[in-house]
Amino acid sequence: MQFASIFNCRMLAVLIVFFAACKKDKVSGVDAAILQPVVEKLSRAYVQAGEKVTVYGRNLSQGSLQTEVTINGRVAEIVGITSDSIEVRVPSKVSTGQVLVTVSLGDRFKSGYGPSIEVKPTPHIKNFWPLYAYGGDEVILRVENFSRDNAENRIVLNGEPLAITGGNGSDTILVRLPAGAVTGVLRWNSYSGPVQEMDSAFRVRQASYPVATVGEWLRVDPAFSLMDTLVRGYPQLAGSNYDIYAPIYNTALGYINEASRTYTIFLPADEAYYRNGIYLNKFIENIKGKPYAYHGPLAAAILPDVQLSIGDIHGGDEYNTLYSEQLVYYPLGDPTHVLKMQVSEVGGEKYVNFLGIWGETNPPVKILREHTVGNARIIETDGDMGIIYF
Amino acid sequence: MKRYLQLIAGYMVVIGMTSCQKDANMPQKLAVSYLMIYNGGANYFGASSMVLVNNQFYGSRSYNDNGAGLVGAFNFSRYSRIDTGLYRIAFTDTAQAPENAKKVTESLFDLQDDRHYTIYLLDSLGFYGSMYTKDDVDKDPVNAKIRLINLSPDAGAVYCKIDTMSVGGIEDISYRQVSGYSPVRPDTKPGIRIMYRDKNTGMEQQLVRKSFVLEAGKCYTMILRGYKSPADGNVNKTINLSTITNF
Repeated sequence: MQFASIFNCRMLAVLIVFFAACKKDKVSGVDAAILQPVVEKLSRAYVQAGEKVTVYGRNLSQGSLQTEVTINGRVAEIVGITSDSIEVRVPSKVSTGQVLVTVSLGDRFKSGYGPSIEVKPTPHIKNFWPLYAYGGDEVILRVENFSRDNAENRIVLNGEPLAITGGNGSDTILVRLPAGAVTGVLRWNSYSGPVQEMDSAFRVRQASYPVATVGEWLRVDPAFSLMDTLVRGYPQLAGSNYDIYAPIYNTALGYINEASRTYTIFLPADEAYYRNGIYLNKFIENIKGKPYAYHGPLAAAILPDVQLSIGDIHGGDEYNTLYSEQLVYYPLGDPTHVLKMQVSEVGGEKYVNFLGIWGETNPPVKILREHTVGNARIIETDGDMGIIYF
Repeated sequence: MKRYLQLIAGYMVVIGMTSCQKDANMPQKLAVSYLMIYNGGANYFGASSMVLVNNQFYGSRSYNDNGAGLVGAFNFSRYSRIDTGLYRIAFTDTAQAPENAKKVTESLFDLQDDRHYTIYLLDSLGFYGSMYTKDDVDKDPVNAKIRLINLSPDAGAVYCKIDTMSVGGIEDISYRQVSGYSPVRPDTKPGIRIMYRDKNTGMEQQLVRKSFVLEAGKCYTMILRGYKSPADGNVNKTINLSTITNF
């Protein structure tokens, strides 16, 4: 009987083991370990790419399990996490949509949808006009994705806010530069979004520069970057024929790079070229293609021995330029054959063109402003005058 | 008595052991879905994306690839069996350097029993997304069945004509939209034309014309993909029509 009792106990133990083994796989320790993440609210109703937003809820962080957050399917970088909140950075190129939090371990996961969040597009300044300006000038910004309410837009130059004077926010914003503005990087944001910036500087002109020669002025005044390229780059751009052109070019340089000379030089500002689609690369190609067409105008732009002001010149005036037949065909040319610069006035504006023995250049170009450099004066024109050859 | 107890215990042990054979001997239909994945992101021309299912590598897809290779004018479906259930399906930015790959989009999809699905990667200038179609349809022994999905971000709303005849049901299909299947007459050389109306003139314009054999009893998904005007000027991203023979 004692044996039977012991036997029964052993059998019972074996049976318990067998039946316990029959509980199959349904209960998964891993599944049970992932708690359902619940998203309850967001810290923001709308955001822009690059901004941070906090997701509030429960079971958002679960020990060693992986938590991922998407906004409308786009994975957002997690910058801070606790069990009941996750701070994420809104990814770029994401559009309005639902926030989803997923907690996973290997290929097992549980997800919880949150509210939809409005993603406002990132504001962008595509370009501006003019490409340089003085302090106090108005500049047109061509934009996209700015708020139509200009109170929501912020544009700064060197950290100083620019006054928004007009535009519609959808494609154009007008700003006025501060009086004391200097060249710097434009930065902007709309709403409370992250600050964006241009990859190149906005160039601000100054009324005067501490330089001694016209050549130095051309280097520092952003309105004359193309003329600076011509003056400094011509020998290389002219290529193998440079020796032929060098006498005329060097004669002009004898004024441009000399501090003691008295003269007046008429030079076109970059803007006139830009309006015709001639930017730096195109300008360089033009010089390389026709180097013979660029040394003469440089000499013709110079009126030797006079430091003229705009107020000094009047319609009907004629001035001898540095460009003469003798300079071109030295020493054979007739020294009395000199290209003249003539002045005309239309509607209160002053214009200049060249008058030569074979005709004159047309149309005359408008005079814009003047700059004094020592004994020299730069008269800034709204275009290239061309040349009349000998 | 002792022998009697041993017999009872022996029976119980046998019963216990045999009861553990679970379902192996009980025939039962397994729940299964059928999944095909197509990369419609023109940015992946010359590159490929990894498909992650529940964060596990599932396969790679280059642009216009459904797993059976480049779809081209047409190709056959490539469905894989997959357990039913809720899945997170993601596409990565690269397949070339898996260790550095990042998800460009991820969404949840609930795959149901005995259903065929296609999941598409979409791309609008780097705004990635994904969507799915339910592919099952009753075959028509007399006609072919076609449908259109628009994955072209800048094509606008389009419709379909075969030669000069409009295809009923395939009309006004915008980006991210898919039509239902429409029955069409079998043809060995149909002129399948994707059309749109010019916004300014209202005139009908042809966007793409393709021809592939339409067989009775078969079902096709036409995929309008690429850009009318690729931002980078790459002609390989230009709008085109690919067709998958689903069944």
